[in-house]
Amino acid sequence: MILADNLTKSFPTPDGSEKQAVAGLSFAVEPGQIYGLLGPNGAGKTTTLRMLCGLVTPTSGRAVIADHDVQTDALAVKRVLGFLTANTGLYQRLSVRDVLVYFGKLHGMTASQARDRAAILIDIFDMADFASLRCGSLSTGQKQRCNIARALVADPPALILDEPTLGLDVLSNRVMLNFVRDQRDAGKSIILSTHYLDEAETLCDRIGLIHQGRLIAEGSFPELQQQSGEQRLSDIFLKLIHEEPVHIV
Amino acid sequence: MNLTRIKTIYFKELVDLLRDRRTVIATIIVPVVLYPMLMLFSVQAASVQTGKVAVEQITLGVTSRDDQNTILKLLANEPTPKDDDGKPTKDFTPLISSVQFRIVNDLKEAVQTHQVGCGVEILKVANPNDPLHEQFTFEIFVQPDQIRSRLAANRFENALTRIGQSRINQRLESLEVKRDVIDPFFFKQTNLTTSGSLLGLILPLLLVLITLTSAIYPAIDLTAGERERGTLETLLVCPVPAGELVAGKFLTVVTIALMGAMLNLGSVAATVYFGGLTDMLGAMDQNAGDLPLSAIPIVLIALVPFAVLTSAILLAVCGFARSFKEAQNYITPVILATLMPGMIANLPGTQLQGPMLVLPVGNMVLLVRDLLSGTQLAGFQIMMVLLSTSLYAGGAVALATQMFGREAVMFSDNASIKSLLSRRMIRAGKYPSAGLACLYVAILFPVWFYVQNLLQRHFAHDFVNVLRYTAVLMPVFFAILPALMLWYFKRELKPTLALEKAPPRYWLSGLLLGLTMWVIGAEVIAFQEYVLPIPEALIKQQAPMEALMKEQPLWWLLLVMAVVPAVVEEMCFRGMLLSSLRTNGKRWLALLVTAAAFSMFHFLVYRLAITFVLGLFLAYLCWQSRSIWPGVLAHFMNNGFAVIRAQYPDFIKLLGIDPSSESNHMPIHVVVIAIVMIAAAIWISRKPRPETLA
Repeated sequence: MILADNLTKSFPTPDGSEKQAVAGLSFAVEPGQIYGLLGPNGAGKTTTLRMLCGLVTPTSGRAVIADHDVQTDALAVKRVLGFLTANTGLYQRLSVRDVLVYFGKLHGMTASQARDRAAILIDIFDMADFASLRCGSLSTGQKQRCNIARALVADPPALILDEPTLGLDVLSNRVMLNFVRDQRDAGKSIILSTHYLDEAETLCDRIGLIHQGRLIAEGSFPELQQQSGEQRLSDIFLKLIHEEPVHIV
Repeated sequence: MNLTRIKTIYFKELVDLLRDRRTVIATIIVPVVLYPMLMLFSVQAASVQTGKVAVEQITLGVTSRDDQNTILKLLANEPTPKDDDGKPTKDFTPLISSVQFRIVNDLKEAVQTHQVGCGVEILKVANPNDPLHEQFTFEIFVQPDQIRSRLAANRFENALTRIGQSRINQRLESLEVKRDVIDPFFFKQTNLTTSGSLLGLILPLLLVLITLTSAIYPAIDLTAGERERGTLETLLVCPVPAGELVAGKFLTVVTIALMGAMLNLGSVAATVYFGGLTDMLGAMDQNAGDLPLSAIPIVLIALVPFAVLTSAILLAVCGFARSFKEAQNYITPVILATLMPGMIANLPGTQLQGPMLVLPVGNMVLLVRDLLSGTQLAGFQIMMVLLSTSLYAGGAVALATQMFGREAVMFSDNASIKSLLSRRMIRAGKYPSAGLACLYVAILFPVWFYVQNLLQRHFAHDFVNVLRYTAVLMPVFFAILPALMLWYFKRELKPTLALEKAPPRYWLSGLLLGLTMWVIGAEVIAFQEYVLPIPEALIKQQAPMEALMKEQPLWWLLLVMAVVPAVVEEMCFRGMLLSSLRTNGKRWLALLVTAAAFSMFHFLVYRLAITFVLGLFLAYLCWQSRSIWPGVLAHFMNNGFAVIRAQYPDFIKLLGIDPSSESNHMPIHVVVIAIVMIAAAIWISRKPRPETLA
């Protein structure tokens, strides 16, 4: 389970003042659930996800992943968390297999365990044809498959996916969405941040809409439709950002 | 620290880097192919140019045809010089065969406008045409900053000197006086230089530069490069502590830097030996000689701490950068700052002593230079260079670890660096990070060394004033500045400096240690004498100091030599440094690091062992008690005994020790009692005090 409890993050600005990127954000993601964290650019999504991963320290509030507090037990959190973004890079001069084995070892596996796990992931994501090629020579879709496999090296119970389909073609996009569904079905807690609202409509079990660092609405897609009177997520969102925050439970 | 994980990161980074064409070019191709080529080419070009200038025609400016004829007539009689064995020098070219004249009106202008090499005016001729009494007065116009002008004047003066010497001999012969009766001195010079003066001058700085440049690319690639490619974020969400990531990357950079240095050194050695460089250098400079092969492994060993230092500095600096380009911008001033002390050290006549011993980079340049030239170095000098460089490297590694993966560096905009240091943005915490404390100690090391040197130089033999000022400055550097730093970084002063009260059992331990540590110290010194005897010169140097100590009031000496060091050194080492190492939980590592740092601050190699051992006891006591006060007591008593012994040498008779004994060892009964008491002290404080007292 993933829990964000009153998370707040302030950054200094060049003029010496502080900017609140995230303001008292709270939500929970149960196992077997996809939580869509949606909002416009600069809403605070990425900062929130980074706080959940332990990459950014919250100014206040706390985050808990699979019963481990991110601030006090960051290493334990990283052991149970898979993290994937559209910008996540791969080592260009290592092969797909090398990358998977390397991250396996970093997660505490022995060399043979890491090799076995890499072989399984190569099989699952149908990467046998290019597993020995250096990542620098792969297509965008192949790289993204490798990245997904990398995030799943330790088979983590929680996944954080920040814009995972950004820039992917239709085929690669389908691979990614299938992967997200499969992981949900495998009982994992998943946070998905995306600008493609139609993806969120079909994939997410619950949706949190953030605007200017605050959660302005939360609920399942039908609940949000019912509350707002709008049918499409984009319309719901546009309507809500001009209204007082509503919380649908 | 998980060594397996560090090894994983290290090998991955190494493979990744070595697969990169740019690393291979920078680290292997350039040193193996390009540098020897450049070196051969530049030395050859220099040699050809020097040779060309040395034998080319010189143009002498004169003001009249008469002067030209007079000089020509003189030069016609230039004798061939003889070598040390009295044989005529081979390949000698008399000036007359390579001189041409130009008659000009203004000699000054002719020289300045490079129409002539130098100008010669005959001011006076006494007794002309009488070889036995003829005397000339010349005025030579020369521009010394122009090599051609300088060489022309030199060659003209040398030729005239040789002619003059020959005429003196003729005149002496006419007077029937032998030349060797007149000469009061005869010289024969034996050149003891074992390596080329040119190589000795170029190579140390070149090696330092190469080690530095070899480390630049990997340092950028593994930090800013990784961030730019988007792999750093992936790495940071792995369950690996930042320290391990930095360690793996740092070892990779050190390996590449050393690889570069090694290949360069090998390449230079091969060029010198197989490329005929020695002959070429010899032709340019008679002192060129040979490069001692035996020095190469020692030079390589000496380069290790330097490679460690540069790698750590570069990693720390590049850690700030968000992109490759930005890292390159940061590195330029670092290279300049690194080369500056190296250049200072490379100045002729600079010696590896005094402040130069701890001058970062500069001391390494001097060490390499002296090793290559076969100069005899004292163990103390080598030790100081290696220890100080290692300490700076430790500080830089600590800084690199501190910076690595910091969110302000990773994700923020331009305000990020500011936010790292802006007090407003610093999160309060109990203890400082090990990086911060180690960095302070690493910076304090040369500063305190310079302060001590300055005091000793300023007050010369005025030991009392040195002590007085040391007692005033010590609290500033060892207590007040650390406290200010801790305040700035919002750390809790009381627990960090371990100023909290200690339960009585630790006081008892402190008392027992204070009573006995000097015995252990004396035994350490006695055993050390077998392998590293204190030189007589040092003992003699300290004798007037001891005499002066006897004249000072005991209370004053106790204050400045026992109370002040006991309090402030405990605050800095057992307080700040040890507390910062508490967070990683490894007690023995923390104790060893603290004791090593404490011992290094005593600057004398003969005091390293004793201060290390005492530092270990004091660190143990503070770790267990979470308070410096029992240690302050032990430290005070230890120093206090030394003061009392200096004033009252017979004092130890009370313990049954004969102060006039030849043996350095303490009587066995005293040693046994001391060991028992120390064991008791350790046993009494075996149970660590809980973080908060009930």
